[in-house]
Amino acid sequence: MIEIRDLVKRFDAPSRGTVTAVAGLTLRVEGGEVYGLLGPNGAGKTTTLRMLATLADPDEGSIVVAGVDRLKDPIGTRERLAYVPAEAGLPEKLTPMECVRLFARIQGVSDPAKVAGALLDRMGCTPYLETPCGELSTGMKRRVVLARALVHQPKVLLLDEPTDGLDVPGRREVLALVREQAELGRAIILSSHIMGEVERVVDRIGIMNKGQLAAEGTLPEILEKTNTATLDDAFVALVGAEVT
Amino acid sequence: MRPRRIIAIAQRDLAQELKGRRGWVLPAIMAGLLLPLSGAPVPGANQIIQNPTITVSGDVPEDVLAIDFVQEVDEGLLSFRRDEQGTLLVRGMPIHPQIRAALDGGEPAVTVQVARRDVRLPNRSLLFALISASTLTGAVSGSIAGERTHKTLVALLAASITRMELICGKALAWGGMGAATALLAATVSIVLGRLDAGWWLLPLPTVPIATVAVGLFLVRRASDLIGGTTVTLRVLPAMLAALGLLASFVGTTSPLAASAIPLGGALMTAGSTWGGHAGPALLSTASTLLTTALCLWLTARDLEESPGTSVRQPWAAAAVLLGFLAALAWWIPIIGPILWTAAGNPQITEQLPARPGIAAGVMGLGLMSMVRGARARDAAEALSFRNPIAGTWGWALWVGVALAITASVSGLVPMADDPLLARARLRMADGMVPVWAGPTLMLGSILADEFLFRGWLQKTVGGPTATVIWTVVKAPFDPIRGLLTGGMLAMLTHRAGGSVLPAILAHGIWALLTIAVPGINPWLALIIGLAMVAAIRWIPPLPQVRTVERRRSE
Amino acid sequence: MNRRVALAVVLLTATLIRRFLREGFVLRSLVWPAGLAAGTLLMTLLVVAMVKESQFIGVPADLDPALVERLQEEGWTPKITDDLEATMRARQSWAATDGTVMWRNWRPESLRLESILRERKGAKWRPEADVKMPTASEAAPQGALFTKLVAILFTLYGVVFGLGMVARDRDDGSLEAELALPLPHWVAGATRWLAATSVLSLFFSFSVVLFDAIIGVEQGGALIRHGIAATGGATALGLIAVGKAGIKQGFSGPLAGGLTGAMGVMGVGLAMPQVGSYLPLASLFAGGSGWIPVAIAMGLGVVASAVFSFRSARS
Repeated sequence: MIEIRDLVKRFDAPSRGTVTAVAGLTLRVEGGEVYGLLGPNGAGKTTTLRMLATLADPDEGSIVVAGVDRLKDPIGTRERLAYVPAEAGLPEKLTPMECVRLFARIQGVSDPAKVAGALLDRMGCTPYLETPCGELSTGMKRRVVLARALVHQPKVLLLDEPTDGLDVPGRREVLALVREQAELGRAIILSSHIMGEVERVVDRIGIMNKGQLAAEGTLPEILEKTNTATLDDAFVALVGAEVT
Repeated sequence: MRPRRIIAIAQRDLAQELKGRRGWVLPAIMAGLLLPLSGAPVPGANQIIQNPTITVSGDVPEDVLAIDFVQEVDEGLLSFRRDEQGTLLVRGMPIHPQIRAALDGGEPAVTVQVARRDVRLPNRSLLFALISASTLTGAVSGSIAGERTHKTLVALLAASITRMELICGKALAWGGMGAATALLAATVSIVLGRLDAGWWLLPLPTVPIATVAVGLFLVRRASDLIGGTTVTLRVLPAMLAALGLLASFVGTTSPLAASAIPLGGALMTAGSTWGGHAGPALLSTASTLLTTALCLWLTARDLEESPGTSVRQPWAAAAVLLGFLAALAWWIPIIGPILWTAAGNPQITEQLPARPGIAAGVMGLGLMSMVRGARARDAAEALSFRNPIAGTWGWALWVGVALAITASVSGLVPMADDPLLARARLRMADGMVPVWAGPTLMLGSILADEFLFRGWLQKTVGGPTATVIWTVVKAPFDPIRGLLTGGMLAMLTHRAGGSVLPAILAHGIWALLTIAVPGINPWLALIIGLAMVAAIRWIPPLPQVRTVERRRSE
Repeated sequence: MNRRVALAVVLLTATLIRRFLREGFVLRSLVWPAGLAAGTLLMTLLVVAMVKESQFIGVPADLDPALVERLQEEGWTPKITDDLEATMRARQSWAATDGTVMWRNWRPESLRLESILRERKGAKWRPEADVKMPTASEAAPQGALFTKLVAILFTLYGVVFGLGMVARDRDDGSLEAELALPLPHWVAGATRWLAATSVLSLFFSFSVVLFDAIIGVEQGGALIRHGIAATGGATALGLIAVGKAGIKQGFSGPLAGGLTGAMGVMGVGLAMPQVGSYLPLASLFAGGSGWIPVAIAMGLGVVASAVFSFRSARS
């Protein structure tokens, strides 16, 4: 469902010259699979997700999302995916219902109000349907953002730190939702720093470092490869303790 | 207060805005505006206004045409002709002293002296202060509203720094930048010999500092960057202009009193308006810095991470202002003649058509409805734009006819004796159903009236109060007619379950029939109107209406 | 443009307008110019009505009684004073005369007084003092000028709106969510241009019509069109000037640039009206029917959307 080949992305950073954020990334995610994309800060995870979501253009390489060539048909690509960035924001003056219903209408969902209401209910936002988003807690905002992303039943989900700001029950709920979406056949890439939740929910893991995949496979495969007992240890073994 | 922390905040704010590729833009603009101003040689005020070209026409004497700034044209500022006795008559003003001298020919019959108060103009250094202050609008807004949007204010508020230190740091950053650029421009001017150093240098930097302090005070509760910037944009220049003008006006009597006016006095003394003496400079500096301190203190006191619902909602004031302006526009064609007559020019509103007043009233009420709808979760519900209870459409037809008939009840209240009031009453009667204004304006007026009075006001304050307000606004000189028409429309809306649609229909029929229905006996019209009100109020609903109501209650 | 894109443009524009109208500070700013200006006009009228300048004319004690009578016939009240000039400067009278020398201020009535004095002296010329109060059509140019000052403020709002909408939404992440929708990226720029221009134009038009009701505005229809063009042009300027700025990367620089640019273009209208009458912003002071500036402003909206789209793709 997601196929990335030899992806390269470079940036001009005034203080550092040209920086290669992604240096020849290749990976594949099938429908129904949750792929955990891990890596230290600056590894290129967010840049990869943004390129998938057509918010940044790659310098080299190819991307195919749900059978659509991302470079040739960016709009078609966006129809098939949903992207939840780490700093996902909501307009302060609109209510959750208005936000989600707007996206539902734009995405061409039939009966947008009903679908939006059901999704928000599923995310536990019912008591806050008519509260301006600016007055919601961080966790509640994140739930609304997730509901907005799922409103058009995307084939592909790109989640950048989806549990950021949530309490423990909230995190469990989101991870359960991720699993549920995978069982519906969606291809999901989940980027996170919290190893514990990655272990619980993903099918395969890709560990990025300096723009490339340092390791890829299921959790047992990675543990065996790095000769470690936990994902934390494996991660440190692969990327080192350096802070970028 | 710990200076180090204040300086740290200032450094942080400046670094945030001025670092990087785009960071040079603001200083470049300030330099670009100020440097030419500080260096360019400009003619003195006397040179500018001395001899402007004066156009003349008609039977112009040769002596006048010989003056170098006089130009003969077909229709000049001054026109010359001779009366039957051969006396030269000059129409127009002002008559320049040189022209007077030419006409008098060395033997003035009457010597004319202009005795007016000295209005002294400031020099270019006023602009240094003004421009430095004005270019910092965005920075001031971003300083608080931007930080709130970006969620960085909370980190500052939670740090070991007092609010006063925080605000002083921000004021130091931007006020300091403004003060530095103003002083730099002044220095360039002095070095190039355009200006002489003097006491004016003392109040000069206080203007941008105080402007920044006032700006921070204005945006202390803004959480939206656009909202915050528009506040500073609309208030700060107007405030500077108003205070400057006030100081200039007061200064014609007492420069010392004028220099005590915060900001305005500093602006004028920075421009050496009153001779550059120490007294006004020191006083204006002190008053402006005191104002700065007060604004900073108030800002620090009120600063919160999220203003939230505890803050008085400014939108309500805006909506009320819109409504007031709409009512004003509606009333201006009526009270305009009274006001203009009192001000000494009755003919202006004699000639002003009433149509713009109706149009402005419609637009104002329309905008108010739009705002009301935009703010509500369900716009249609907020404006009572929904299907009425079945059976009320028929009532709407009858009410429309009755409304047209009630025009005659005006005859029950005697016409005012005073011509102005009588004219006002006739204009209000014309304006109540402005069929003469064209179909678009007519329709707009109907919609605006119904959405405001029946759609919103009736729901908020109740039918009787809404009817009284309708009478006061639309027919104060015809109270019987106002109460009858308002009452019928209110009753109809009530019967329709709160929907304004039948009232709109009735109002439209009223408008269409206004021209067609001839006047009938006013007492008969009154009886018909009262009967209609009673009928809507007391006649039981039709069977199908009962069914609908029962379903609603279930 | 297919149906989905058209629907999206309408929905997003309506949502942006709703966001504007829900922000109290923005709403107050939109209503403020009309309110302040109308209030100032009316207060001026009230003050003028209440505080009329004195009808006194300063005269010496030994002034010719015939002249005194003549002054009284004109409705003026002679006030005996020792120092005629001082009386004038102290505003105790609006004019002063001893029959040969006259002190006056700038009131048109001073010409009437001078005419009377000259006629009595048999002078070979005198001013023809037909003190006429301006009619509505004569006052209308002043009304138009007053309205143009309000238009300047709305134009500056346009720059702020254009810049601020992008900077704000970019930093809080809601712009990215919009860009991730299956729509061309120019939609995000175009809807912002449409929303800001519509709201500003509506409130500006209300201001013009309100002033027309109070004082009369010359060529109000054309002025409304010039205002629409100016707000559209200014919003486009803001959208272009914002670049990749956000609150993180500095907002005040692009804002100062946008505001200065807008004022500069308006200055073109003053300095070169032949050129300015075709350009949005400049046409406010250059005149003309306003249709061409409106069309050009719409073109600028298209350009701004394209620039926005180009920059979004390059991020």
